[in-house]
Amino acid sequence: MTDWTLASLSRAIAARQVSPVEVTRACLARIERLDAKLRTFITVDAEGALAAARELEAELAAGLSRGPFHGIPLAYKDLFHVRGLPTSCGTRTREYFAADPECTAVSRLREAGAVTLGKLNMTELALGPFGDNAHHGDVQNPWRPGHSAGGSSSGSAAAVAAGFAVGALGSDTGGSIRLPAACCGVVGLKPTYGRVSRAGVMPLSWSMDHVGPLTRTVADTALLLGIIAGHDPRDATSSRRGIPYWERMLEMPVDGLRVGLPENYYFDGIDAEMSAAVRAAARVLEGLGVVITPMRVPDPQPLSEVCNVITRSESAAIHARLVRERPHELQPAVRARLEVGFHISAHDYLQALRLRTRYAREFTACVFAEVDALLAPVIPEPAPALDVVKAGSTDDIVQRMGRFSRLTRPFNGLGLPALSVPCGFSGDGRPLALQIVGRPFDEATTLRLGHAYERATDWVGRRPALA
Amino acid sequence: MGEPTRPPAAAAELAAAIARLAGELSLAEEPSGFVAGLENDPDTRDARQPQ
Repeated sequence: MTDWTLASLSRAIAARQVSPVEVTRACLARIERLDAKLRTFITVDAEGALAAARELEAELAAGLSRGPFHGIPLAYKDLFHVRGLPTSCGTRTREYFAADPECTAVSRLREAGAVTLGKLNMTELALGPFGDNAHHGDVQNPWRPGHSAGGSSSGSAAAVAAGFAVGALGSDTGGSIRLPAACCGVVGLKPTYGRVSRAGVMPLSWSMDHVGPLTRTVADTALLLGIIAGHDPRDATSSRRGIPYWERMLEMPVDGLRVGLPENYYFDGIDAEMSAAVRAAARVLEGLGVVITPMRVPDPQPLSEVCNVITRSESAAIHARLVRERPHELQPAVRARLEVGFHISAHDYLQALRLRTRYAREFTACVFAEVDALLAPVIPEPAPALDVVKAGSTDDIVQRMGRFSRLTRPFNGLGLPALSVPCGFSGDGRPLALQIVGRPFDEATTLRLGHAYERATDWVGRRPALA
Repeated sequence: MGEPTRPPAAAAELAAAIARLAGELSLAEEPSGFVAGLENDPDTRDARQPQ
């Protein structure tokens, strides 16, 4: 049952075919058996998970159900504050973030009946796209050990792909949900900026951080988003917009929707198999009646520079104390990226915020006047080998990080919803993925398109062979 | 103290980029305009569906 989707497991629990304790035990046993190699967890809370599962089972026995998440085992990136568990944020220090109260998204899932299995490995301070971590071990790609699981929500994607958790939460400042989802062959959604509260999540950049789900199917992502989305007084940037029943909108037909295929930037220098898979996905959607429109999009390069100024400034402000007091504990590339922010002036930071506003307005007006969504690759190549991405000087590594996240970063700057969906495998078995980007707060269309594509292909049912 | 005294080259490159790009800005452009822009996007198709 560790292979099941959230939706199918939910139905089985509701029908009393399996119990919350059974499924929690199955996940914990699989973690115990396989995670020493994959390194997806930093903290496994077996005792807490089983205690919660027993309580939920007793509720079911008493005729009480909390809904589709009743007894569903989930896990959270180790920058989400979870009651009773330490938070390392991927650093050497396990008590790095000892804030109280609990993260809003986690609390909402707990109230909905989810079981917390533990806290997931990640890139140190969420600063890097490859999922390597000198303190907690490099997360291994479940499809191909020795290769990157993507980052920074590396453990979130790998744990879902490996069948350790039915779903997970991650955070995305420049691609940190979508990159690992793409590398590990699972679904990952960066919602619109403000759609999901970030309260109780260790920040990296207040202006760019997003919280979102990683699951095995688009339908599961829609279910999870439905719980965690919505206004939160604890996060001043969270939107007051209404929450659609996304899972009910998935089956709405996609014929007649217009999808743009960028002619510039997003396919430049992309691995041939990746490019072919995304273009093939466009043809699948076309076969479903979607109108595919090749189009030039506003050049994302200036936006990327602007985003860099904002992210570096904010991350340096957030982690100034850590850099000052314990610089020796930080991985060299992480420290190097943080230190840039100390040298950005207030003037340049403010100009960057103003430019971002302008670029976002122009992009939305230009692109979404023509199409309902954009289709692009997520990663420029399938998951690279870990020893390759860690090789060379600190400068080499930092530049490599920038290249690997160049297809996802623009959409953090624009704040748009962006969904990563598996779309095949390379010749040597590494996952390929497409990115569907919607207009502000239109997660519904991105999810519908992703679901329609998923249903028309058979990638989603495949699982890595783990010994 | 972890803060270096000499700015890294990356910081100088970012400052140069801002100097180049900021000439496009109008006085009406505010730092906080981004969230308002998202919230005011005219095409909202996500009104709550009936139960």
